[in-house]
Amino acid sequence: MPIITISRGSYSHGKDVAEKLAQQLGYECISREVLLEASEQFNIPQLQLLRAVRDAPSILDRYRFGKERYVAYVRAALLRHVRRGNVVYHGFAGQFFLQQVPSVLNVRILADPEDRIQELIRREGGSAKEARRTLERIDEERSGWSQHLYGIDTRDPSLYGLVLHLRALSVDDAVKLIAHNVAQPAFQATLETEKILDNHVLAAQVEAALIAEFPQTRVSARDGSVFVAIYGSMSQQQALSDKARDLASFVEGADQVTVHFVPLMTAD
Amino acid sequence: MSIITVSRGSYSRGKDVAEQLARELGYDCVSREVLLEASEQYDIPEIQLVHAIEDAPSILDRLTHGKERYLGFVRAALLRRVKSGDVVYHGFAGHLLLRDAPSVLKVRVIAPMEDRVQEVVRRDGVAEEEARERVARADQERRKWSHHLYGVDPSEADLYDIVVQLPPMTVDDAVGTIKFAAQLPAFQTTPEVKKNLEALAAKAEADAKS
Repeated sequence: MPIITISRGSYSHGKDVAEKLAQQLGYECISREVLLEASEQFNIPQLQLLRAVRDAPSILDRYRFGKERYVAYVRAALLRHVRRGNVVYHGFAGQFFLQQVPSVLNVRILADPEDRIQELIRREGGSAKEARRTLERIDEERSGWSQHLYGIDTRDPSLYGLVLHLRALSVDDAVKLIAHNVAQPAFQATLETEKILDNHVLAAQVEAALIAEFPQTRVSARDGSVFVAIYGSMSQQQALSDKARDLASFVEGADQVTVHFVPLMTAD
Repeated sequence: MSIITVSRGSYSRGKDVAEQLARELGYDCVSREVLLEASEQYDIPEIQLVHAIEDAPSILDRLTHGKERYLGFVRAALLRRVKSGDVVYHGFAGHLLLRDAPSVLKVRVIAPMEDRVQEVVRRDGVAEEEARERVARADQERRKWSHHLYGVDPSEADLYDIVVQLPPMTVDDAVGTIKFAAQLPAFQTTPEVKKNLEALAAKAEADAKS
């Protein structure tokens, strides 16, 4: 039950690869749907989520927890969605959201700059000069948000199991190569990897449930036992711990919740 | 019928991949031999060629273009060696030396930093800190070298058709992937490609002698 993520620059045919691959393997192909699910599950306008996970950070964002919150929602929705496997995800930052999940095949699709320019002109019209500028802007923005939000540079090949350059390789070649790879033992789910994935799914749901109240919360899970770390001033320890426990216990599958309270030191 | 170059970071198991790949395909596996051939053909001590292609350029190199000349020899020898196809080259800078050669399948094999450090610890029997430094130093040398001569960073995924990381992939996975790609039409050493390669080799040879 493999999970494949496809990272791509815009206008790089990565979407074509993802869709054809899913079709050939009989897998589900998802991208933006995850935002819709997150939007419904956590009652946040979809546009707000989209901005949070895609746009370069504004100065204001850097000093608030706004984005982290939305990222937690998207991550929770994505993990919940892919837990059954047999899925190709080609939305934002898949390799980041799923980085601790074993047996995920992270793929990056590259295209030559000139091809991308032609593709942009074909789709949107305009001159080569404009197209070049647009692509530069998009790439810069993406690089900005992935650095800021996820602490990764999506161009870094070490984030991926496989990087394919669509130069001599065609879209169909890339599809065949990925399909060939994902059939290998390393990408098959085992009881053990399923368990690890379940733990990540649960932790992500709990984190999403807590994050509005506890922006800096850290959550891990193991077989239905959830460990929550929260921060607060000593005087509120009891109240905050109770609140965190209540919020976490609401999450399906969180059978046992342990709250670890970390007192924040403040000057007298 | 293909020409495959395998570029590898040091301590990244790329050599294992190249050797197994050549074995399974029944291809020649070529690396340092090319230096020896260049050394014999152009009557240059091999060690000098090794320095030229492995060390970062010195200030003198920058002024005299010494490296470029040696590289010309290596390139001529390499083209002569690979032009008939059915070969895996995992020596230095195949992807750059054969940059303008048609239909060459360019692969890079990488490994996570931690795995590379452990590989050095295992192979060289040094402490982790020393191992980390060695890996960083090797990377740094290659980066400088590649920048000086070609203006590119070898870690740029752009230079390759395929980049494979071990793990998550295994050596077998990587070999399987590359074998699969090598059968694609884009990477066949067709008679026409061979003709182009012949011409490139002849030109490289003429340039090296001039």
